[in-house]
Amino acid sequence: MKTNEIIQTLRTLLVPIVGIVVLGAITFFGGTFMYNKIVELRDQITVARDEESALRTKLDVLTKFSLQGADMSRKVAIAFPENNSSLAVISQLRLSASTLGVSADQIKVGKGIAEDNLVYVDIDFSTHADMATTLTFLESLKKVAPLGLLRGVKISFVGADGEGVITYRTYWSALPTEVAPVGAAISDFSEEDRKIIQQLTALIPPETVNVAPNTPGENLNPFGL
Amino acid sequence: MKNRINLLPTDLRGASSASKLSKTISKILVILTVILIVLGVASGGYMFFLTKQFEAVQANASEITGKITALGPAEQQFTLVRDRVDKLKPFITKKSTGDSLGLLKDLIAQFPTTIKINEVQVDENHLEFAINATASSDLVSVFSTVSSDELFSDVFLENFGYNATLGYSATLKMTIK
Repeated sequence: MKTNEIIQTLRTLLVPIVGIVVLGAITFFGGTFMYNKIVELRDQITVARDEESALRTKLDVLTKFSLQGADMSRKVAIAFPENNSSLAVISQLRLSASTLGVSADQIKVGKGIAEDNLVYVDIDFSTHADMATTLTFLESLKKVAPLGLLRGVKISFVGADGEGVITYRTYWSALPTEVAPVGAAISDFSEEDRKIIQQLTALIPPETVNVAPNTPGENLNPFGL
Repeated sequence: MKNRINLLPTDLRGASSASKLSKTISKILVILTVILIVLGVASGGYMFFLTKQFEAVQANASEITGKITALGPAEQQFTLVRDRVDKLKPFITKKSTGDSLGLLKDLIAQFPTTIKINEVQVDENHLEFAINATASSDLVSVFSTVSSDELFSDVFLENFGYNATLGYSATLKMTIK
């Protein structure tokens, strides 16, 4: 083949070959770009859908909770308060003891011990009553707020009279100071959680006396004592 | 029969096979270009659809966030209840002496009325009581009640004695399952 013929052949094939190269480059770069963009968008949609689902769950949980939330949180905060609950517990046990005719004395409050994000204190006291009344009294403590758990019971009898040495433990803990961000997911209470909430909200709160403020009256002699 | 003639000078004539190849490539090129354009338009459409879908999901999430923000007080109360429950759970779910008291009450109710209880000691894992019995049959009844109760894993006879005035005395200690 002559040189002229070779040049002529190459000239004839040049345009289609360049076309194929350009098309291939466009397909490769454009395709890669489009593919990456589509994958990125799909990933973003998946993440956004997960977030939306978590938010919807949170909204459902909060909407359901809001129907009884104020009352529930108030009762739970009384049952498990933020400050030392020993005074309220002593008040409750004295009230319960006097109602049932049990003599409760020698009340001693121990030192608060911090453990696992809460503080507990042991309250030791003595009781004087017959067996049945003492047991009824001790069982009544399970029904009053602030929450407490019996730790030790020893009852000695002389005739029908029993002298009990009781150790009762009560708990408190600081309140949470932060609420999770709006977008943060929350899960509903489990069955076990609900049982605990039911137990806490069923406790009888300590009686508080609300003193009505005095209405302002006329002071006839502001300088008199 | 027709004869094809080529009037171009020989040096300007392309090789006939190259010319055919060029035409074939050009045709393929056109077809590929059309396919590429169609794919490009389809991909663009799909991207537009995905973008709209993403915006719709985001708008929905934003609307829900607004509703959650409006439920701020409920969220605070929920956080408080969750905090209290989580902190108490390890303590409240444990066995307690209060539970043991219920067992004690049920057990004593089954004892013969002539049994005299001198001392009772209860904690979350054990029940212990010291008793007096004037008749050995009463004591046997107590032992049989305690040993047949499936709530105890162990029953120990800690002390046993006899006194002519008080009768039999025994101290029993049970480990609660």
